Amino acid sequence: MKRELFAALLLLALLAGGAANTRFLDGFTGKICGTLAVSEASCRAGDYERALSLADEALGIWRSREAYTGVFIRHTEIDAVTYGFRDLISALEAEPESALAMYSGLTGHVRSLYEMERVTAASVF
Amino acid sequence: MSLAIVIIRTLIVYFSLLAFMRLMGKRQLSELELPELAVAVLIADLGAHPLQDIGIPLLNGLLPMAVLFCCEALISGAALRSPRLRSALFGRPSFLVAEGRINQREMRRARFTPDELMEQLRSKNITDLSQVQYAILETDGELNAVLYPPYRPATAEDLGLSPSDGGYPVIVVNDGRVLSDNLAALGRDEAWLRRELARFGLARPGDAYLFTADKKGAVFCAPKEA
Repeated sequence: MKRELFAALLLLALLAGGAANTRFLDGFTGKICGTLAVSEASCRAGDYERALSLADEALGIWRSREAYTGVFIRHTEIDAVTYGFRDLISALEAEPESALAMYSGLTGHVRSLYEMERVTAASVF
Repeated sequence: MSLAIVIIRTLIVYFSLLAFMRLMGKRQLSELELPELAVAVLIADLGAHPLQDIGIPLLNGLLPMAVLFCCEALISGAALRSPRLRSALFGRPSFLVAEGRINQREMRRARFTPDELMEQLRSKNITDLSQVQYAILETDGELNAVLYPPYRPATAEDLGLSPSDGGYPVIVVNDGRVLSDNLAALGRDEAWLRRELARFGLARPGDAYLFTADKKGAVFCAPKEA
């Protein structure tokens, strides 16, 4: 009986952990995307310095959870987002006008980390 | 690919596999029922993936292992308590031979051919089907046979004998090492062991390769080869 109880509790804990992880990813990616959105708006307005500073801030948020991403997210996804940030920041530093095209790709990639984690019929099957 | 990461991951997966298989119980090691076989097949594959590709988080392998352990523990626990569930999950034993007659319908249901039946019986040293009263295909795929009484091995009771019961022989010396717990369980001490070893011409426990004894004092000794 002890083994079954342990198994049931472990299963519940894993399910709760899965739900908490999805929720955390929602907040984490939402914060990065929010910061990138403000950076994009600044870029559109021609305030490239602020756009660069906000892109750096978004990268800082991404990097602040390196331990988490390393354990929970596929390493190919981590690399794709990190390279996306590197390209965006390089573009903002060198030719800011070309950076505008990069925002949607990077934002989409970051948000997809949460989308992949969400439990939907499509993601399950 | 980082060698150190591969080594550490392999160690983690190996010990996790050991832990989960141990938690699932000894049945996983042999006599697999259907759900257990499914778990055994899946768990080996799950462990291999994060080892082959270090880009996959280790958790992707460990987490499903933990979930499978939970399912297995819950299912086997529930099956222990509910015969109906057990029958639904594990199936029922099939009587392929009943009262000496081959049940052909049951043979077809179990996808068992006459060749296979004879092969399984031969593996139990039974070559003559007419001696078989019952042949039962167990839920783990094992075929058990019950012979008609005249063909069953005679027991001590059949022969009117009353053999003495010395209990279970336990290992006292294993490759020169004395197993003190086993010695104590027999109610003996090291002085007794040395006396017994001396009867076999051995001066000390280190000279014995294997020494077993039962509660009645019957012993077996195999000296260590030089």
